[in-house]
Amino acid sequence: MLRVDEVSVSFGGLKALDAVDIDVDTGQVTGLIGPNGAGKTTLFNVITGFQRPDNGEVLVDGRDVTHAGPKKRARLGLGRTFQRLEIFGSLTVLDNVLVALENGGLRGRHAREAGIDLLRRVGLERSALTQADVLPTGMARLLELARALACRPRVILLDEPSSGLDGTESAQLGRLLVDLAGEGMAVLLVEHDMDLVMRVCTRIHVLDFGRIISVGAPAEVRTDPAVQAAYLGGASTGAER
Amino acid sequence: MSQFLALTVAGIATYGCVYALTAMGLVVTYTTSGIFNFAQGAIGMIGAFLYWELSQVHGWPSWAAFTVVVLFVMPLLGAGLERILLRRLEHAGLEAQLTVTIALLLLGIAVATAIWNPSTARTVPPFFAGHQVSIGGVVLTWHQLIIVGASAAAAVVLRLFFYRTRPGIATRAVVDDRELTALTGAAPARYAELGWAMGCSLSAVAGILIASQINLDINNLTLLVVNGYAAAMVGRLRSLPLTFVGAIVLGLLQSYGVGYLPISVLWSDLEQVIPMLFLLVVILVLPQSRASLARRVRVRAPRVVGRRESLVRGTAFIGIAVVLAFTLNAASFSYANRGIALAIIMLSLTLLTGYGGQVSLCQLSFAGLGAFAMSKVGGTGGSLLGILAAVGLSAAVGAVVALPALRLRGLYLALATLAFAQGMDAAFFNNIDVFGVSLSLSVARPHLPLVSVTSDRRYFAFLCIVFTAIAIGLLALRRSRFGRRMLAITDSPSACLTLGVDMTRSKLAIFTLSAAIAGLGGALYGGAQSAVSPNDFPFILSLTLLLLAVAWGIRTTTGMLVGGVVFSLGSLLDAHLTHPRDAFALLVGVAAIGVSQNPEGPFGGRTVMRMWRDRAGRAGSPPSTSAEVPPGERLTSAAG
Ligand SMILES: Nc1ncnc2c1ncn2[C@@H]1O[C@H](COP(=O)(O)OP(=O)(O)O)[C@@H](O)[C@H]1O
Ligand SMILES: [Mg+2]
Repeated sequence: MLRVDEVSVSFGGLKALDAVDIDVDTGQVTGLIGPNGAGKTTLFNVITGFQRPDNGEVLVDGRDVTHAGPKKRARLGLGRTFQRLEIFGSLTVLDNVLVALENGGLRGRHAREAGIDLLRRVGLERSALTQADVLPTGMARLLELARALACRPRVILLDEPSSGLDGTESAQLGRLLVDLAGEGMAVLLVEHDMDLVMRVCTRIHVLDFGRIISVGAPAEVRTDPAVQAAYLGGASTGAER
Repeated sequence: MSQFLALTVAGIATYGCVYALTAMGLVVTYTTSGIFNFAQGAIGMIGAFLYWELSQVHGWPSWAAFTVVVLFVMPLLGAGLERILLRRLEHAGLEAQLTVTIALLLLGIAVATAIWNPSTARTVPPFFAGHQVSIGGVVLTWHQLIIVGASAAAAVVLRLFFYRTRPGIATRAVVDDRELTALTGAAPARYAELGWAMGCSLSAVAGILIASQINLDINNLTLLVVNGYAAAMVGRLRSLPLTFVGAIVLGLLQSYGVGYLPISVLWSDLEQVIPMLFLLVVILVLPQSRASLARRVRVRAPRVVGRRESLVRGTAFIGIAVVLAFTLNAASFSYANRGIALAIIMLSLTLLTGYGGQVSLCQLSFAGLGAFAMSKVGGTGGSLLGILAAVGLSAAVGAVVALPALRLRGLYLALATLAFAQGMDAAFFNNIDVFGVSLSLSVARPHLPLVSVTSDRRYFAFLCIVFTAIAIGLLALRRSRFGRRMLAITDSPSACLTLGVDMTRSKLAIFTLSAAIAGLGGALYGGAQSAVSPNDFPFILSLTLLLLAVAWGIRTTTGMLVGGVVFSLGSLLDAHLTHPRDAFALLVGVAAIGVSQNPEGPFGGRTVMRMWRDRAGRAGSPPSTSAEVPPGERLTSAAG
């Protein structure tokens, strides 16, 4: 469904991504993990068209979108959330979702009902009329998820959706992600919460210093010595950066 | 040939290098603080006047005066301004940032006018007057050599600053992503202070050096900065070498233009028009960076006013207006009517800037077009066709301006509109083919079918009703589907892109509608005064209008009403004071401080209660920025 082929990005002297390959399949939750600064968000930006890669290709459904802008890609079915929140702060929670629904052609009561349904799905229906900029981080992330879902994406990229959520909430989020995959969506999940990742992902890619160092099922990745080393090493180099 | 050489020398050594000094000052303040300093020219002007005061009035030797002004007074001023006014605006919206520096510009002019009476002629002798050298037939004065030397020295110093010092390296190239700088461990606030000190100092050098070449004139020196903007744009406010090249090219263009082009009536202000055209071309051909994740703006949006509430408030206001129409004394109406008409023009800013997030510095140009159309089409009877023409003309011109300008982001759009406004000043408003030899057009009040509104009292009530109708309309627009999309685009363009929202169409619609409102306001403003002249729509007044709008809360319609009336009352004060500029300066100064402390204005819903509640709420909830957990902590769960 989504294929990233040999993508490289550098910022000045820093290689943020180095020949990265990733496959995200329909009907599955695919994980992308790695220490801070590994390049996960940069990869999301490349996939969604916010960052031009120096090298490599991005394919959606076999179609090369490397040179398409973010809007075009959105219309091809790519949706995402942002690690640094990008909610519409001066709108209410419901209006945030309505912007997306109305852009898709829904109007009036139909749009509102669809909006409430989406909010219910992520557990925000009781905050529907709250102004979005007063939401705590965790709920704002869920709002971004609901808003992205309103576009009925075929591939959805989530950048640390559970940070700011407590244990129960993040378990609910996990179930939602599995459901979405079950409905035929391709989900790419960047997450620091390893329990969540191990539980919901069928395949995991591990990124370190811009390189994919390991790919496989959760059990394989967990025991991969390279991954263990990266996380141990990442802890010290991460602090320097 | 000899004329060509002379023009080239003047272009480089007199103009180009001075522009380079100003422009480099702009670059250094923008790079270190992220704030574009509109007051750069005004600050240079103050520096030049201080220098004149010390060297000519108090008889200091010129080197001493120069040193004190450039190395002590101006750096202190810059650092002080940064600390007191600008630091708190780091996360404010562009309009608030621009407004504060615009206030500084107006304040600089007002203060200088109050201290140094503009009707007195002053001259600053050049350095080493009478000394000159001849190099291969080209004659250069020592003063010109000093100009060239100073700009070269400044370029070298800044280059070293940006590449060899810690603050310079830390701030270089990250100006559009200050959070990234914070991540990499720099402390931008400290460097911003340094940047402002350097920027002010450079502008003073430019002001002092150019003062002996042109007159020591408040407005001339202040507007010198426009040339600086144009040059700095060539370097996209970042690259010093490109900025320098831009400055020299502009200096040459100007020198050749003045030397060779025929002086026609239409382009009598050639010296002002060339930099504006240059700026416009540079901005429009400038490659825009790809959609990037937007700069974070942390302002709390004002509460959305519901339908019932807006109707209730509107009715109440009209009620008050009717009572006032019967009770105010006859003399007050000229001020009141102008004030309400201005408030209508300011509503165009609420739509465009407050809701739409686009800053325009040419709203009065649209208003002027509206008044022009009303005068020409409405005739002496004030036919309603005139109103239609006013709305239509300003909307059409607005759309034409918007089309190329919409691909520009924030600051660049603001500067493009400024260039347009200045162009209009020079080529349209001050053109006797348009405004007649007397430079005045009579504008009739609209003739309504059922009831006459031509008396002052009735016109007042009429204006209040029009204001209320537009305000209620804007609030309704804001709650509509179009409004949701408009606010979404303002809040997060990035998110809109990922939702596939077509932003260009919405922005174009907003810009056009806003121009139409300004045009309508302009036509009614003309009616309030019965006549308009170019002095009613100078671009500098567009700046003042934005300042007032922001100070009273650009996202609130109530704020515009108060702003318009205050603006008009300002001129009432002027008429009664011996130093008219003092009142204005006071007004502007208060506005600047107000904006820097509370960018949302007094009617933005941030009542004391609400701020207190927010604070209490925040203490309990997790911080709203994404807190990344150090990787080490995650290891436990990854391994376990
Ligand atoms: N716009 C940018 N300019 C320069 N460096 C950047 C930019 N964006 C990210 N980086 C750098 O690229 C690296 C990868 O960052 P990022 O993709 O955010 O990592 P992650 O999301 O895995 O924590 C980091 O070292 C970061 O500092
Ligand atoms: Mg990240």
